[in-house]
Amino acid sequence: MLWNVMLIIGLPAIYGSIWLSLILGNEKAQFSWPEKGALSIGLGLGLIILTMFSLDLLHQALTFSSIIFGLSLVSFPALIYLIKQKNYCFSLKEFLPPWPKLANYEWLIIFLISLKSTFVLFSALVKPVVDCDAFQFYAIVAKGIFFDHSFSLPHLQQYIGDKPLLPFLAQGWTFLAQNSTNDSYLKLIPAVMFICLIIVFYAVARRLAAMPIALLFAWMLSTLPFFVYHATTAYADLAISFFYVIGTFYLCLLIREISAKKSAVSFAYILLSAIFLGLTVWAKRAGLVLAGIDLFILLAVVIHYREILVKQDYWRLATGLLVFLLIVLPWLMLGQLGTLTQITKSMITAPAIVQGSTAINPDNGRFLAMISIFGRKLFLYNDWQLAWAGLIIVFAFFWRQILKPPYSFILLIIIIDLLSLFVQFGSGETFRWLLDGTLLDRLLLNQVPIVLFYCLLVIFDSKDSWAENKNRVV
Amino acid sequence: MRKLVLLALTVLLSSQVLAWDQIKIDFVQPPQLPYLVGQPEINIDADEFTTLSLRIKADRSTTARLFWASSYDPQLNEPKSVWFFIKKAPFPKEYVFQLKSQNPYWLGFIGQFALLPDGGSQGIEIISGKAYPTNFLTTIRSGWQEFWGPRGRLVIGSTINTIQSPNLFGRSIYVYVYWLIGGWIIGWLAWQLLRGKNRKTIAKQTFYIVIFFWGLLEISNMYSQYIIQVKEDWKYVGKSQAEKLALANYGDYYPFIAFCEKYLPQNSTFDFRIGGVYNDIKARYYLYPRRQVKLGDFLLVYDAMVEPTIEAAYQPYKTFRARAYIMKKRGL
Repeated sequence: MLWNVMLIIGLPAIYGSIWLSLILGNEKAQFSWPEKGALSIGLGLGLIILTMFSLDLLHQALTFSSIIFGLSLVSFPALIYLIKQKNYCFSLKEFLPPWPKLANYEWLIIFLISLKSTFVLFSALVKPVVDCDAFQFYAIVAKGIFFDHSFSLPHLQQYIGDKPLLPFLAQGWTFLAQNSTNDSYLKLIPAVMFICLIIVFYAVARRLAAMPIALLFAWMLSTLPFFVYHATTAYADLAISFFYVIGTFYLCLLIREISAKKSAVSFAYILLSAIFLGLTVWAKRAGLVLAGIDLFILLAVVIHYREILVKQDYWRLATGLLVFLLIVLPWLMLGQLGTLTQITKSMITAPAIVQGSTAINPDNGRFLAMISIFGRKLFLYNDWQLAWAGLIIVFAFFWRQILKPPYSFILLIIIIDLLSLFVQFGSGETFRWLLDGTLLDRLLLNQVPIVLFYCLLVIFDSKDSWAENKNRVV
Repeated sequence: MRKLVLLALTVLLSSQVLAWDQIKIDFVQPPQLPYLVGQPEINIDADEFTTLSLRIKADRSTTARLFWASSYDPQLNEPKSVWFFIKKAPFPKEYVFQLKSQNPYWLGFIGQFALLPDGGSQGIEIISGKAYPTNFLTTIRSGWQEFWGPRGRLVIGSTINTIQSPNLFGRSIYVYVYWLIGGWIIGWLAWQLLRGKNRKTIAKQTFYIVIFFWGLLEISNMYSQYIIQVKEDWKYVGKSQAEKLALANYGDYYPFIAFCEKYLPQNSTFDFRIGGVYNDIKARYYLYPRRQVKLGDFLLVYDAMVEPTIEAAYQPYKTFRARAYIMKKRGL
């Protein structure tokens, strides 16, 4: 079992760490080793997916050895560069004592998070795939990749349709890496993503708040029932949350840093945000909208702070944009440009906009139904615990502060995300999915970690503490 | 002394002591049916007799649904039902339902009950049943049973889309939490504001209260996950992949699939007539790289009817059991 876990997760993590070292460069001291480990896994999985896509595009058979060869080929120059620069992101020193001393209650929180992570791993790995959509769409393509060494065969394309490839390829990689079709392991990647997301959340929160508060919020994230459940399934919803939330976290840090600007903005934050948001597009169709919203907010931030940004900052931001496009364009151009046009079309032709707001007109029954369903799902179901109530408390106590930058920009991400759901559900096609309760919560999975982060940012962060906190690593 | 307190508590908790009146309900097991039927001695006035108590002896733990028929709707259907856990015990256990608060359809005059345990009624026996007006203690017992019941705790098909919250007296537990947080904000914090405390400090205190309730709700989630779900998943521990797949499917479906795997050549095509929810989707997945196409080389039949025109195109090939077999295309 351990060997399979090493192959499925460890190998991508090794390749991911090579690229992470390049991304972090001299900023690596600002990142703790657990954070770097979690990011390496995310980057590695992204690399695997892009490599598999490229190999298939070049009509090369998708096998374990061909993927490793492809990965090694693209990572080799980076590795040589790193050896020359002696700048690998991990160092043995980080793992050696002295370790930080923790209070008993901090140990307790870590224990509770570990317990939940153990539960997620157990629940994911102990049983085979049992959810019908996982069979119907993703796992069968993964079997196709395992047996036929390609995902572009017509009989597999009927399952893929215009869905982004990350979930299919990640599951295909799982079968190839373990050289069997033991589908219990198909849920390993979501379970590991869950743990990585909590680590990154803690690391990002630690830059803003004291350790107990950061730990407490990481624990809160780890307890969201719906989030926990999706970490144990072989669906695509946790994958999109993982990439989008991490990308948005680093974007938030970037926005926060720009607002408290004393030196050039962090290149690492820009690149991490760009890469993870780019991979969001590969995870699920909604990724395109989510990444677009984040980019729109970044543009607004750049315009707002244009006077304090220097030339170097612009170059860095432009490089980030280029990296994002490099990741996204292959999928859009060679994969499904139709996805982009379809989403744009559905947004533009949503009855709310075209027909004089007939769909989400406040006088319309549909609007009231939407408000009612949103309200119940956000506040009365067990999916999100008290996360949305926390946001209301933030609004109640900090209504002046939240309207000021940089808080307003981060709040805008949440609001536009929610509005995009409103517009989407306002259209005739998807309204029934709101009524039958099949989609809303899964889409909200992307917002709730950001809501928690926002609560932490507004309540426990202060502008003065930012500069001194930004280098905290543990 | 301890025994005396326990005895007093038992007596107090016994609904009979404080119940002023009651209507007896007799439950019988109709032959060949998976549920038990209950008939009250007279029709129950739902306004007055708001609580139902069942003493159930069970040789296995399961979930069950209690249905009732009312003068407004004489059908036994899901809206007029409550879902609860039955626990395995060598002696009869009492289950208390304050139905007036748990279900808005406890209305009119109730003339019939049915208890449908999941997995059939074998081993489940209702020793006695009665309806009576509620009192403080039965309200607490019913609420406790309802809160720790299966709603929002068991992993069911729709969990992939939403996770319900446990209910208390027919309302989401969150309603009560919001009232408590609201009460805190209005009371304690207004006092703090009067004392001139900093707004940020007050906000932090409020958020700590949210975290406190978060912790309480998490204890409830931990029960669902660490006790119910782990217990449910424990059956897979130490099993081979084939054994796990057999456990993950109903009846003999996976052994049938394994049988098909044995007799269908790899890369062959098949069509199917398969009964059972999602079993057709699973067949496509499990049998890959054999591909399902219309009128494929083989026809898999599992607890389903085959149209005569389709059947005519195939001949018998291998039989797993009656109503579960493989047919081969004629001339292949």
